[in-house]
Amino acid sequence: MKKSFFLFAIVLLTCFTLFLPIHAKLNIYFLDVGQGDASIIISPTGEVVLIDSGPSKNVILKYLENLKIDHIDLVIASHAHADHITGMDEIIAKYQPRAFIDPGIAHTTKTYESMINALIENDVNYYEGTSRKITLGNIQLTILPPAEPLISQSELNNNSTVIRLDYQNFSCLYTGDIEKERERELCSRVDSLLDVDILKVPHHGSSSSSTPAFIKTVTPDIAIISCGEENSYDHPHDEVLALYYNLDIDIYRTDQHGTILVQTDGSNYTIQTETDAPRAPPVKVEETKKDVSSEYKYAASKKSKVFHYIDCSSVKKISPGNLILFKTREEAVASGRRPCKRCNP
Amino acid sequence: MIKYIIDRFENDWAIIETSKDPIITFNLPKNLLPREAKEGDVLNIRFTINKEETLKRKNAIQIKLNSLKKQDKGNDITL
Repeated sequence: MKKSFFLFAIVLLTCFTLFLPIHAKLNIYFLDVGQGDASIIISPTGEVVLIDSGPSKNVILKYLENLKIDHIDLVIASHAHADHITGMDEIIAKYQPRAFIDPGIAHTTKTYESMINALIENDVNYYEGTSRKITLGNIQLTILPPAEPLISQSELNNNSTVIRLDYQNFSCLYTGDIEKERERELCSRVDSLLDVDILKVPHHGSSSSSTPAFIKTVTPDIAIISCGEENSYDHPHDEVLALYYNLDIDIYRTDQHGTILVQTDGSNYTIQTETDAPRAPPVKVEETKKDVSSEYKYAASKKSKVFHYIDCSSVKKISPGNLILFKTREEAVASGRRPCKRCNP
Repeated sequence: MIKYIIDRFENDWAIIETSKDPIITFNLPKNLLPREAKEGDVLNIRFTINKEETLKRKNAIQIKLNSLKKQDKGNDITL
């Protein structure tokens, strides 16, 4: 009798240790959706938030299915561009979220119109991204809207819904595609709310954003860049990577690391990635502008895992924006790359 | 004047290259081009803004968004 009770206790304990960490922790997924943004937040008490849905309906629906998401409590669209809201219509119809938030600025595209139609047809509670707090179990989201809508060339980007996520001592900042003007506005108005552990880097790491003043206010430990492999816009831009690197901020990229999972108990956090991408230092911008032929003997594309002698025929095919140079073979190897089989450096 | 030249076709896409440095390439859906278009052809491309249609879509979609905004009381949310 005693023995079977002991056995029962062990089984119970095992169950607890297996399930407790999953449920007692906040899980944040930055999904590898290609060139776009999508993130899923699962609170320690099981509430689910979707922030953006990326550029592909099939990809986001597959992620939701694979992660066994059976309900979504809150959907947030950072802004109306298609690389952030594609598939929202189907997600809204399928998951019937309890609330939906966006910046409240309309767009004329079919993708945006379909999202709005789905909200109306499914009678979803709509909230504009004005200044307010959202409580989901034991996590809190704070919307940090602009004082006035910013009107510029990048109106939709700059008015992205900016969200601060707090769980006990852990914090994370979502920035959509905000650009310099909005970063400046945030720093001047709500700078005390910007200091977080993890920053979702604005606008896929574009040089339109990530001004030094903003990054130094946010002072994140980790910067997460959501972008597609070999995207046409060369996101993330070298000068942005260099800035984070020089400030000793660890960079994780969905194009290199795949989906990134941040798990936290409210005080410590861990980061798991789909792939083990090398954390190569970014190309130093000023060095690529010099005549480099004499100093640098090795070269690689930032998109490739292979390095070459600088005169290898493959180097000529690398676009200037992607070219990384190394003075020594050691440097090239340390970047996580292997020698080219053709020029055998 | 920049010329737009069909470099090649990839599946349903035509890859267009510009004639001046810096060369820019971009994809166009093949079905937007004349059926007889082939690689090497120079295309006439001229875009204009359809202001009337833009305004029509803007107004129609704004009406829908306004109907959603009406239900928002500006309160904090507990889910």
